[in-house]
Amino acid sequence: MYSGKKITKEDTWRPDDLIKHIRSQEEESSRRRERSHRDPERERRKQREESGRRGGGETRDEREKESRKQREREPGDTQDRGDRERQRDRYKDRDREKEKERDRLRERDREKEKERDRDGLRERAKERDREKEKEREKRNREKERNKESDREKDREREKRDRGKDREREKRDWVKDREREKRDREKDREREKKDREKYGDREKKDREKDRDRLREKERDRAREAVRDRGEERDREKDRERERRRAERENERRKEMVHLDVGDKSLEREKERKERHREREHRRGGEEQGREWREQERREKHGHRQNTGQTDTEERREQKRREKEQHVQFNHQDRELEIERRHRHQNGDGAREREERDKRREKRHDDSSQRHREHESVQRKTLQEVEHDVTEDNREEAVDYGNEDYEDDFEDYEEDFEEFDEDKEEEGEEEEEVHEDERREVKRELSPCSRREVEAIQRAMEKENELLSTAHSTQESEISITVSADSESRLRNSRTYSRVIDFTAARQREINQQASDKQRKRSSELLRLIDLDFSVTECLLDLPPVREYDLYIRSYGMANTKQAYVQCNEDYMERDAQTDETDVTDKWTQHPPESSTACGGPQVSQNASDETVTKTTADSKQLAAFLRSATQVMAVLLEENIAESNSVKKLQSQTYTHSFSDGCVQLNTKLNLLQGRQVTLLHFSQTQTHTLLSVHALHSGSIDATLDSKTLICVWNIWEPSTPQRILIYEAEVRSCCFSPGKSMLVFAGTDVGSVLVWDLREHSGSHTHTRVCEEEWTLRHPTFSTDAVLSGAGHFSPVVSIEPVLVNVGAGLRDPLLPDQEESLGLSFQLGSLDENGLLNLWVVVELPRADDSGSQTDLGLRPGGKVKLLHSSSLQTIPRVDKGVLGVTSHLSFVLKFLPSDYNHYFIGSNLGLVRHGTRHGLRAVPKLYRPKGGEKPAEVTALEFCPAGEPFFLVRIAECVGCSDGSVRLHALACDEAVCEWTVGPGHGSVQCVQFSPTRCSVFCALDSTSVLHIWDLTQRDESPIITQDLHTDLVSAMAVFGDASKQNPYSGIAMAKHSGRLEVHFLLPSLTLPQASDKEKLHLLTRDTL
Amino acid sequence: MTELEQGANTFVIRPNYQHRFRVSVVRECIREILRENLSGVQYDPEETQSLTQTLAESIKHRVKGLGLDDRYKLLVHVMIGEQRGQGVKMTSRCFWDSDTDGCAKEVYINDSMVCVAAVFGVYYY
Repeated sequence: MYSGKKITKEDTWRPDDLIKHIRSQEEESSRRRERSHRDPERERRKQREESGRRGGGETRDEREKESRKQREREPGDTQDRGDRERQRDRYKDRDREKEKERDRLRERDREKEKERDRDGLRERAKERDREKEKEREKRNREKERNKESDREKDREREKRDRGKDREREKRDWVKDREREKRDREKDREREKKDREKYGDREKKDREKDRDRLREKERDRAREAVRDRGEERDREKDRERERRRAERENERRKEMVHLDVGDKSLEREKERKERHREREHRRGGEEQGREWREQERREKHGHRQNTGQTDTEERREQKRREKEQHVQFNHQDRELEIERRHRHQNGDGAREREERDKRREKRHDDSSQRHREHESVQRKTLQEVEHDVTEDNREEAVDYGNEDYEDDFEDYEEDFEEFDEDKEEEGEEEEEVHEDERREVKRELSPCSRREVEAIQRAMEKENELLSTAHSTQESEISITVSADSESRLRNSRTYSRVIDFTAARQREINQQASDKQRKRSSELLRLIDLDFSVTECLLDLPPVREYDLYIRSYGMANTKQAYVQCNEDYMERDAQTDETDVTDKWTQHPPESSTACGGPQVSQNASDETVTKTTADSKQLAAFLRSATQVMAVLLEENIAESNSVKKLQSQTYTHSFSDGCVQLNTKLNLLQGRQVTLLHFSQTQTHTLLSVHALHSGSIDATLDSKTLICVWNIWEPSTPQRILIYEAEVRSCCFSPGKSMLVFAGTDVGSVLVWDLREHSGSHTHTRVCEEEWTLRHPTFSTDAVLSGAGHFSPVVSIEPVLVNVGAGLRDPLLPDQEESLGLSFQLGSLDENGLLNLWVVVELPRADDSGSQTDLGLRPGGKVKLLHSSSLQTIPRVDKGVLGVTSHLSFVLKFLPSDYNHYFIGSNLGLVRHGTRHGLRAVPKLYRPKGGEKPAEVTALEFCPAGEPFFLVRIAECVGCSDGSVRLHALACDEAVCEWTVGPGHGSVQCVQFSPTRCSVFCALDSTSVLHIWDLTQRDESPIITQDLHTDLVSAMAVFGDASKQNPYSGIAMAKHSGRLEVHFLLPSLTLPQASDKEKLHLLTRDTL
Repeated sequence: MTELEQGANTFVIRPNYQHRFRVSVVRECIREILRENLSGVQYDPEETQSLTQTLAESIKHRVKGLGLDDRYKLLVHVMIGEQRGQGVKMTSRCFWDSDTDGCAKEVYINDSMVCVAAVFGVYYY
């Protein structure tokens, strides 16, 4: 039918062209828009004028009828639409039958309504009612306008739908033919000639039309009688009721698709109406073209068919001209050309003229059409319904390619958007506009620029989409464009089909992929918790303040480095390396006068302060003084001694051949005056400490002291005064120091008691006695065994007392070594021997705490004393057998010594010239007795002395024979009972009182006889006789003791001698006698060997 | 895609512990690179662009060499700005799975420039 024109890309808008076009149009459109705002009103005015020209009442009626019909049509149409959509599979015939039924029912309803209206009109004769109803009318009209605007949108949508239908038709050859048939049918409708061909249906329609015409004539007659307002009221009532009835019918027919059906039916109906309108307007062929044309294109054509649209459009028009009535088309084209001119020139006046002309033409058309309208209405409705059903069928025949539908839906959306865009103005305005537009469009489509313009915009959008979107869309558009021609259809079909497949496949793949992705994401999202991380500060750089900047750049401008602090570790101490201040100071201790310290700058105040400070520290001072006084005392003593000795002692030293010097102890004290020294004893460790026992003296100065013995403790370096003075009531027969430090003094008395003095006791706790204006501290013994231990004590005078050291180890050590002595401390025992040979052993105990109130259990302990003696054991050393055998004289013991190397062994000198040897624990000691060479003689052993230098072999014993006045000195070896050597001191010299080894030389010993002759032997020099014999008979010597210090640096030894005059002299031996020699021990050994 | 087609419930939604994005390690990397490349460098507006790019590249390569999980997507962001006493504040915020993803950043400042390098490791499920 149509020329086999191939569809090309030019058919569609090229994006570039379109853009150009749109740009050129935009200005115009803006202008037009303004115009179009004005236009509807103007047009309405014109319309009214025109209609007025034609006949006032009639135009109005017509308009009302139109609106009424529209309204009437709406429900049915929507229902139809619903049918189409929901019940595609329904048969056409059934639909048609239903439609007929519906129409019939509607007719009936309408007739009933009219009757009712007539009744109601009679009642509503009153004006009050009329006024009310006018108000209602207005409201209704507004509502209707709203509805109509909706309908307008719907119409557009329907057009699109129609487009879809057309697409389907293109695909289906048969459908095309059908459509052509339909076109033809419509033509016939328009001409009202071909109606008979459609048979019964057509006839029925005609009948209906006739009925309606009749009704309308009646209406018109009624209207003539009544006011226009009343007419309007009535009409509206009728309309309302009619609609109600229609709706009821619908309900009855399709119970299910009620709600949706309304809208869809509306749309459908509107569409049909529009078809008809267009047919009327353009006269058949125009409508047909439009019907087939793509909707946008069509509108565009309305507006400016020849404008910037390509020649294609015109060609199509030409084609249509051939087919259809030419004159209409020409008219249209002329109009279009005019309009274009108008556009180009922009001449508003001409435009208006032209428009007016056109409108006039249109109105002419429309006046005809309006008359036709009523009769045609029903038929067209049914026809369109038929079409729709056909369409439905077509759809059913269609492959159900939903892609296409989807695409069209997209288009729909575009149009909706466009609709929304249009709603720039207020709603009211727009309603009015659209209402008017609809009317205008119906009457003269070229004038509806707004709509066209909107469509153009939509097109533009679509084309943009096209340019960017997939090729499939392009093809789709080409399909829509080429909808009118068969050949084109064919081409497009092939073309689109190829691309469709690939596109569809592509689409499918994409769809699948996206589906999977979506599924995956939905599944994963269940497993994963996504959250917002804490807002992390990547960089926070504070701005540099002005001050900082200034300081950085100028802060160091005027600074100069003056000092460097080098002791960097002492930052917190503020240590600076300044030069140290140096000042001279002096100090003195103890302070002289009031100042203890001073210097060139020190003021008097400062010195005062120092003085007070020094005195404040009294404790330290006291400690210092205590130690310093001893030194000072010695120094002072030496000063005195020097001054004395210059006169006296020097002469004396010359008198004694053995003496190297002499110190005279000051015994010219009031206390000691008239007392004879009976005993002298040196400490073994503190060799400068001397004990002197001053015997009882009658007729002394102080009577209280007459019956008491005084013991003086001297330091030979302090000869002026004795250090301590001890006092006891009875005569002291023996005394000794404690081993180690000479802190304790032990004494045995004539009455058999053993005494202990603790020299450490403070002087304050002892009695002070004033003797001849001199105050003396006399110390009573700390502990005394008097009467306390009567059962275990001695009953005869204690002749000898000796400390017994706890023997340490093998006994090879020198017991006299000071370190060992000191280490012993107080852990020693004391042995005391009385005349009857009873040896008592005492344990010396030092109490931890002194008790000033005295002890209740230890009655011998002086209050405040800390040292006491515990009786340990007793030993009878004199065998009874001997006593009995000899019978001459009782055995008497005179002297007790313990073996220095082994303190278990004791040696006791007896009155038979024998020395008994025994052990403390009853073990047998060999030899038991040491005898003189010549056998036993009645001689008392007065002294017994061990060799000092650790030579345990030798024992020197000196005995004095009392009866025969034969004094002898014997030297014994430990292992041999016979004496090694025996020297007889001259007969005229009386008994030997004392014999002692020199502590420094074991081969030197001295002996004093009763005639105060001192004999000194040096065995290395001469072993048969003493080398020195000094006669001291000018002042008889009452006691003598030898002392000496064996220390290697400064060995010295000397002899202390107490004279009858009371003088106490200490003579230092000559160095020849003092200094130890290597041959000393050899000589002793030689002598021993000789005798053995 | 291959992962997807194997079916449901085979998702690997956590990287192995050893191959995790450990911020401290990555930061150490960034620090090294920044120190190597920027010590003694003065700010030069013309070189900055290429410098940032090279920095970002080297950081990316270094971080890739750390043995992260293959599914980690690394975003390296390097900013170099001139240091003229102005105040700068940069922040970042992420919508992610904090169990797997992490951000390591390091700032290098010398007299003339400020450089901020941030590495975002995002686990790709």
